[in-house]
Amino acid sequence: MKLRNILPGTLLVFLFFSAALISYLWTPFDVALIDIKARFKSPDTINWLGTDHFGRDMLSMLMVGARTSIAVAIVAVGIGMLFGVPLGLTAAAKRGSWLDELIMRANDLVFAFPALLIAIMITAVYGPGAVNAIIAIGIFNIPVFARLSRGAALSIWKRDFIQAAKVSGKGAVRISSEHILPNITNLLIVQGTIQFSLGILAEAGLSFVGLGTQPPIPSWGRMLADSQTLIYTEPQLALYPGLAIVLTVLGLNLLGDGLRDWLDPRLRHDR
Amino acid sequence: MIDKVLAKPLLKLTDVSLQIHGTPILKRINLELLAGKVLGIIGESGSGKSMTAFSILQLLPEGSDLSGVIEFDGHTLTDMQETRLCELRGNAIGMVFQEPMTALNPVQSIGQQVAESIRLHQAVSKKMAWQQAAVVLERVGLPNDEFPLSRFPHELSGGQRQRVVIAIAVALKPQLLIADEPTTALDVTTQSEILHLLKKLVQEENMALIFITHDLAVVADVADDIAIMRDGEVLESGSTERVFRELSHPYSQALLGASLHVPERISASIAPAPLLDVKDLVCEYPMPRQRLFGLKPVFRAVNKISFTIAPGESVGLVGESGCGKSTLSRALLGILPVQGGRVMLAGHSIHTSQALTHEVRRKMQVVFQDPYSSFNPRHKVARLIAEPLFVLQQTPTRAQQKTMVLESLQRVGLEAQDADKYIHEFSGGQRQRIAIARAIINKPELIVLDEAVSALDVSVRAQILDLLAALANDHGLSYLFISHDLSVVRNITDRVLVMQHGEIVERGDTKTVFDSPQNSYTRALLAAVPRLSDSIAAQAAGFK
Amino acid sequence: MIHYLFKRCLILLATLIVASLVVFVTIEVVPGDPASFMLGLNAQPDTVNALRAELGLDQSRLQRYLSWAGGLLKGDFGISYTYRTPVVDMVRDRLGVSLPLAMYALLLSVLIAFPAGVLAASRRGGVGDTAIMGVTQLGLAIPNFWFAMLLVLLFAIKLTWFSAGGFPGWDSGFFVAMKSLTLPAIALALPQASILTRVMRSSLLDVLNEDFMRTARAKGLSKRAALWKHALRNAMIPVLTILGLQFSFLLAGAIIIENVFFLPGLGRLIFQSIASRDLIVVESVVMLLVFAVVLVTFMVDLAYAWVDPRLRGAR
Repeated sequence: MKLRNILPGTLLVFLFFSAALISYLWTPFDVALIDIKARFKSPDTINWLGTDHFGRDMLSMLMVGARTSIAVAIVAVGIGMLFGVPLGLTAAAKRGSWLDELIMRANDLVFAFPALLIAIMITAVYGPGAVNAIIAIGIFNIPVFARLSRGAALSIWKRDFIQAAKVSGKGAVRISSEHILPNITNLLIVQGTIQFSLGILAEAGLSFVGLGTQPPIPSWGRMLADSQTLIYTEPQLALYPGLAIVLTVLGLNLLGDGLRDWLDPRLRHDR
Repeated sequence: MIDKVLAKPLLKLTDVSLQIHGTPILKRINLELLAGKVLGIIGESGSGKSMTAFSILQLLPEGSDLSGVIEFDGHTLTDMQETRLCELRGNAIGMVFQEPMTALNPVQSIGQQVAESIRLHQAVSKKMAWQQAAVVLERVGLPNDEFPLSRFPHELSGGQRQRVVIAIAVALKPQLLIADEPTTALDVTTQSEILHLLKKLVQEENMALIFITHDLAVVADVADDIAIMRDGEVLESGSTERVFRELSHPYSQALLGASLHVPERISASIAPAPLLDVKDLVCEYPMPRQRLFGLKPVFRAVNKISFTIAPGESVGLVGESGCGKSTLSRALLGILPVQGGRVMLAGHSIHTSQALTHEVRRKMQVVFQDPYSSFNPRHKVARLIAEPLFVLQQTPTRAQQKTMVLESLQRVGLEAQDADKYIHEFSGGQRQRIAIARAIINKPELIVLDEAVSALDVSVRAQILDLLAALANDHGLSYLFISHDLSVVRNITDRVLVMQHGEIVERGDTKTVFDSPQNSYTRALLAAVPRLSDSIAAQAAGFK
Repeated sequence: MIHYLFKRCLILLATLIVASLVVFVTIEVVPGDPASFMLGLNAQPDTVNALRAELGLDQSRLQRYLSWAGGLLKGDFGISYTYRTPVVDMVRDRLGVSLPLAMYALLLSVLIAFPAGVLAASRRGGVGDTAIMGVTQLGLAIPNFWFAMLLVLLFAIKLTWFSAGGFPGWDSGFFVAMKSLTLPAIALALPQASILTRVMRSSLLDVLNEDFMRTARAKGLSKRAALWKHALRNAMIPVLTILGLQFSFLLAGAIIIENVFFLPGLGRLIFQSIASRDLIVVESVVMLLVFAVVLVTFMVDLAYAWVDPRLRGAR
């Protein structure tokens, strides 16, 4: 298999994941440490990426920001899968029934609310916060996974080995878990990486407009929002968090594409 | 036609070899075809017969490397410019494909698609092309009052679509028509109509025809010349009569032998109590609403069918696609709800309000048509074969399971180590053996064979039929042998049921039904089956 | 066809009703009383009650839902708690910025994506394909608001071709107004164009592998002609789906981008309303956006029937 397709993506993802993990144990500086005198420092041997308008170390901020982004995105994708996949499998198992219709219509309904609108409504009621971002992105992920797993499951339900399983007396639940799920995991993994990268973008967007992660917790979107007013004088402050987002998302997308090629049974024979 | 010089072939392939991404597909093919003659190319899947056709049209997939010379009507196709080739394709050379369901553009009307072909090669107005298209469609048997040109492909049946594809191919009266398995995807009666149409068109227009097929019987009485292919090579070629007389290559003999194959089997001694007893069975499907607030109309796929199968008996169920035979089989297996009647297996009802008992489920199993979709690709063979053990009241221990799996494998002629492999490591024939191993692991009494050999090449099919016959002889199994292919059913069943529009229209001893069919539909079915003509069959039989 | 249309219309209506319920219930569970919030901490109970009556807050929830939903139907969105002006007037002005922005961005992304997708598919594996795929990979990864900041940095600050933000209003002339929407539209369009290009390409490649493309070639059509005449329309079916979904992303994206460029659109209105707890405005704007999304989905369904004759037959 063409390992080179997966390699760049894996490297980028690995880089940001380890940065996030390391930040739990150690960062070059404390991100809560405000030192107005040391603000807007250029990169040097002490502050590798310089400091921001409060004199906080940019590298440390980025590392903690990675952790926020990744945590929000992972939980949101988890919510999407946890609810979406069983819903999709149920709809497929009961295709054509009122239950199927109900699940799919509910999906369509959620699709009418972009994640941002959900976040706006939640914020209007409960005030802003990272949990809002997680819920908003999570809810939006549910129909994505429900549709995907329903569609994929439907094509597998048509295959003869499902008939054979039915002849052996297996019920819908057992068939879904034994035969359907293992055959759609590849798709789910690939979609998972895509939704993960979309989650990171969405979290950044929500935090940017103040609906997501709240200060003082560093987040990439928040950092960009702070840098916006300073863009005339200190454009580099906008550069680093933006690049961090781009590289993480790029890495995840490349990984997703690579995984899809790798896991696609149609391409497998070429190996 | 000016170039009707005798002995000057219309098409000549000289040492044509083809590689796709480095894999050799064709190896030094030499073929000739005179104007107005019919060449049959016969081979099993993977023999390179379709790629030969695409080589002639110069429509090869990416990564193809073609060598050798292909001459057509005085031109060398192999070094012709793409624009010139486009002028020839569809104009001097037409092509008909195997899959009529997908060969037409779903978003264009049939008139548009035929007219496009005409407008491409002739400077005629849109209106003229449209009128010509109407004429061509009439000629291929789609009268305009019944099939207006504004019809879309999805509104036509498979046979009708194939007629449209043929209309596109012959619209400009090409000198050469290439038909790549044009009838394989169709029912027998449709197949014979399409064959008839092709024969008629070729004769009327004096077209040369290359007819590509896996089925010797289909071409035997059409082709002037025959070429038998295997693994990218032409094993034998020449006039049809000579090829059948000589059959010098062992493979050709095997191919012919396989199509005439009769498995050895002992007829069952009929016991008084039937194993399977079907009485007035009705299956219905809801259909989409016709009107906004109307009730959903129902389609009755199986209409009050009754029949029995005795222990050890092998019964054939024959019918064309859409006749309800698959619905019937699923209802018998208890995986489809029924709307009336009853099915009794060894004295137990299959469709009761309660779940089926383990004991009843154990007694029946099934083998499906498609060896590729019959298995979960994520499981190993051992687990695949062991699946029916789920119905046993007491799940056997792991060690017991293993013994049972190995025993099953051995009975179908596979090795013990095959249990640890995944399904994609096996060929179509081997997979069908695994399907049979799965079906017999619980020692069932009835096995439903739903087109179980239809997807296999003839030589493999013969082996599987032998295996089935041997298993029945050894274990007294009963079979319900569902097939659209009458020749298969003839050699392996005691009795036969003929099904049409959800009803059984004729039943009786296989031999009686085949020799003196009473029902008109049965007669039509039998007449439509392509058969090797008696003389050829006699010659071939002499070889065995 | 009529059957299909009717079914779609029913779904459209049902979705809107359920959506309005969801919006109303979500926002109505909010703790705190808008009337006392508006009047401040020192307000007299009498004044608060009077205001509650004026705003209709003393009615039951069901009555309030019905009067709100009924008002929406008549184009009456209620009265802003904070500004005491009809919400519909506020929304109308803001819509005049947000809607053109979203359409402008959609147009740009289609104009970029179609040629790029067709080019990439027809030269699969070639230099052009690789380059286009590389650029779209980047386009997918760039958050549009950051891209917007970069555009401001380059075109407004360094090159000073455009102003960094603000909207002069349509009164100042069509081209002047459009110019001020250009950078925001580009920022919105680029990531969407990347998605669309990739969908267009893969959809075309799928169609190019279909049997009927071989039929087209066997007729004598050149590769190019077969692509234009037979592949493109078939490839449009999945592209339409994405196009419909994109509109909702564009609307949402517009809300964020308006913040970067200080555009007086719906996005800014929503954030101001959240800050001042002017819930009736939030409610109405969210509902309006949902309506837009649902309507676009409906139009996409109609477009399907136009592209694909298989959906047209009522059979």
